[in-house]
Amino acid sequence: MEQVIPKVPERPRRRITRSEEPEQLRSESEFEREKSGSKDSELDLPPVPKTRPNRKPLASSSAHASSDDVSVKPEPQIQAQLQPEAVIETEPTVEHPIVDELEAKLPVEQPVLDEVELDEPVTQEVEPSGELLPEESTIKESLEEQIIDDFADEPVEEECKEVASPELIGDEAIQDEELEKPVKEEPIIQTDDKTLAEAIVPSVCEESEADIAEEPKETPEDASEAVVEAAREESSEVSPEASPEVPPEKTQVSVDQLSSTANLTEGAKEAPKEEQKETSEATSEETPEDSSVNAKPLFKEVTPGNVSSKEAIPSNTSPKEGSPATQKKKQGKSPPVPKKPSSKIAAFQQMFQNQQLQPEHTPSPKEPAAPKTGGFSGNRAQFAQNLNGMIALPGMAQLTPALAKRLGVSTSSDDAETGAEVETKNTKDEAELPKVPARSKKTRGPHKRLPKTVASIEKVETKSTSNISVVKAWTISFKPDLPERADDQPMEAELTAGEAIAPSEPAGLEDVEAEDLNEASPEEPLQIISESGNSDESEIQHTSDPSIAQNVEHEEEVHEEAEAAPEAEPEAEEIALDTEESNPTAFIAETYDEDTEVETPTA
Amino acid sequence: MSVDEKYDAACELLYRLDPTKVKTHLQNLIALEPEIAEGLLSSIDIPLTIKKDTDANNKEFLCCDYNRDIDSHRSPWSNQYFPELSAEDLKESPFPSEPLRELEVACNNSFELYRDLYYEGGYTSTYLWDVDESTDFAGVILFKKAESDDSKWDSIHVISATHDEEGMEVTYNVTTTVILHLENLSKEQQLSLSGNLTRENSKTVKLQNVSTVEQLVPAHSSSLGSMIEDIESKLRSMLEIVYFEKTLDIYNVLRERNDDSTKLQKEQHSELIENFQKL
Repeated sequence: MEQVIPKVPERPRRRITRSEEPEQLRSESEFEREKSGSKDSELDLPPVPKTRPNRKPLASSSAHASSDDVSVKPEPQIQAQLQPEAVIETEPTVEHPIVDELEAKLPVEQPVLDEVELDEPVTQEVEPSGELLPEESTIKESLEEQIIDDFADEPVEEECKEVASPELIGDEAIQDEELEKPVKEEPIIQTDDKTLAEAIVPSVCEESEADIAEEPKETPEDASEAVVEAAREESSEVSPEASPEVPPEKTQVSVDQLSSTANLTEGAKEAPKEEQKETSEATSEETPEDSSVNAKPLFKEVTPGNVSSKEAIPSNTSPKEGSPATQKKKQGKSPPVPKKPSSKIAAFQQMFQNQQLQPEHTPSPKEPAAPKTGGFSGNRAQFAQNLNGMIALPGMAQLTPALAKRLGVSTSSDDAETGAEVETKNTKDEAELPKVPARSKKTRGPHKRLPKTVASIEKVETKSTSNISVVKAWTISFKPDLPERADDQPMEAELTAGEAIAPSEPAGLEDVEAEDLNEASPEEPLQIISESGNSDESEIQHTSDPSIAQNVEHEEEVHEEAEAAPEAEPEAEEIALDTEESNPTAFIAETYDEDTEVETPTA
Repeated sequence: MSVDEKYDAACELLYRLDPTKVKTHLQNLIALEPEIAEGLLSSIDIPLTIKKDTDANNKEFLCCDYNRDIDSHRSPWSNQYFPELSAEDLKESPFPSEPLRELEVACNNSFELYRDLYYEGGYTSTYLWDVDESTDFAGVILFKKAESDDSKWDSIHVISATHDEEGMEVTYNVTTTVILHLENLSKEQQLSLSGNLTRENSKTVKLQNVSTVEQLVPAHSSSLGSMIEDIESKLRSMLEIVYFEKTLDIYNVLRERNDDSTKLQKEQHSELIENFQKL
């Protein structure tokens, strides 16, 4: 515990050392508190601002930014942001007013660092402040004063250094011209940002502009110091509304540097939630302050971030404008940051519109054919255009006319096969050309005669020599009437001598069975076949009559005697023995099951 | 099945058959359906053949269906058919009109320079023919480079120049087909890569201060030359960037997956490590 405590005291030192001036700000913030009142409850977000959440909004906002108009959105977002700012200013606690202001500055710096470097240092600075606050109250004042005297200067320098590190990098990239441009462009932008300008105090805007113009000349360290001082001065001079606006500029710049589209509003909402979880230990008073401070830049970032992101992606100038050097200087001083992005937006819009208008006007068909402009001409734009035809896009699939007909799709094979056509068809006349399938559109050669080899070919028309026809060869119909069947029985019995009839089976099976039976006839005596079913029952009934059975047996015996070989005699005898029995159907089931595999009749 | 349907079916079939055997497939299809022979011969691009013009110091010229009549091909150098046709056949054989022939000669000369610069070898031939009785014309510009049997490049540019009513503007439509065939003839690693790529392009050019034929010739030749140069560069870059790269990616993926030796090595390596650990 003791080891932890000595580290903590650093934060309190800052507060004590710089508590003198910020008091004024406190009074102003308290004013706003009274005005806002209920908003504090909403902004009780966690104190520790971590930059991680900011990235998510950046990625998510990109889609947002692309679809939305640049000029329209920023205004409502800014207005929405201004409200939380007011709340934030009111939030600072009475105990550490100076510290709150300093922390309010820090969070402003943090977003920049977060975007530039998403590493720990930013969070480290913030976290200790939240953790130390409770400890500070517990630590004796004597210890604090001593420690403060020792470290009072150090923390400020450290902060400046940390902030300055990105600036140094950015300063190299930044040019005086770029810094001057936004200031010059402001009048154009003002149309879009009028609402913002109204919300923001004009005096602050002027100061910020002047500061921006002066900034590039200063070294990063000087700038950081100047920022701190300017923040103090402005905080005292500027109205409470202006102070919250300062962070957005910084955030805007950072967003521009990354050239990423960011809806920081979402990030701001998410960030505090995460911070709350992490810094649950922090004091209640400090936590809202930190959260509010952190939330302020985030909200403010949103408006510029969206605008800048939209513009920054296509244009290379955006990252330069958002260089860290400008950020630091702006952080402490100027709330009017939105002007720059708005000016950028307007300029970008103009450029974009001009680009859209140029192809329509410039490539007039009247102009002579452009001299050779091949893909290897070194024109990157043309090279990119050339790629349009290379990469298949939906709808570019080569549909042959026949396939298109099947699919019911209009045959635009021209477009599919000729991606390059889009490039060259700059004129309306070309566009009016009828779109015909490439095959037919391909100009035909001169009238010519076929080669002899091809001309001599005669198409052979094949004539089918085989005719297939389906005909019913024969049919057998059974009449269910018993008396009639009784009459027919002798006929059936006669037929059984050479064939076995299975009335219910299809003709094919009957043929097969008949053949089988014919083959088996010399060896085995043929017998009456009956199947299960209604018709079978009638046959069984017929066969059950002893007179009929005797007739049948008698005929079979005669037939056997005439045709059967001597080997078949024992079987015939067995059958005869069976027939002598009173149950004539018994032998049918036994013999027929084995030979013909027909279903056995059920008794 | 109508003739058009047969024609479309044959084209679809040819698109899906082995590109290295297009000629044989084409002949087989024509044998099946002689009705569509003319359409298939004019629309399906096959590798160009080379003949020599005996009347022009045996200078080679490229042969395709556009300069063919019966079994002979017209040479751009001497404007004669080789092998020679009979007098009766020559009466019906197509020849360009005099002004168009002048343009044809100019184009041949200009594209000879182009071929020398870009192909550093190979052959080129340009053939033009009149379209109806108007001033419009059509033609074909051929390039072939086949230094060896294992690598062939054939580019066929079929052009059509259409003048507007006033005759002040000319619209050029170019249908370009590149037939590429690469083959590794070594027995150990037989690999063949072949295919054709077809693209269309159009361009409208205003003729300024062009009234006579002498002025028309350079105007047409220059505009055609620029278009051909542009299109060929595009197609070449497409082949390099898109098709070859993609083919290489696929090849690499397949090769990695099928490399069983690496798996065995990894397994053996892991076994060795385990055995060492046990010790």
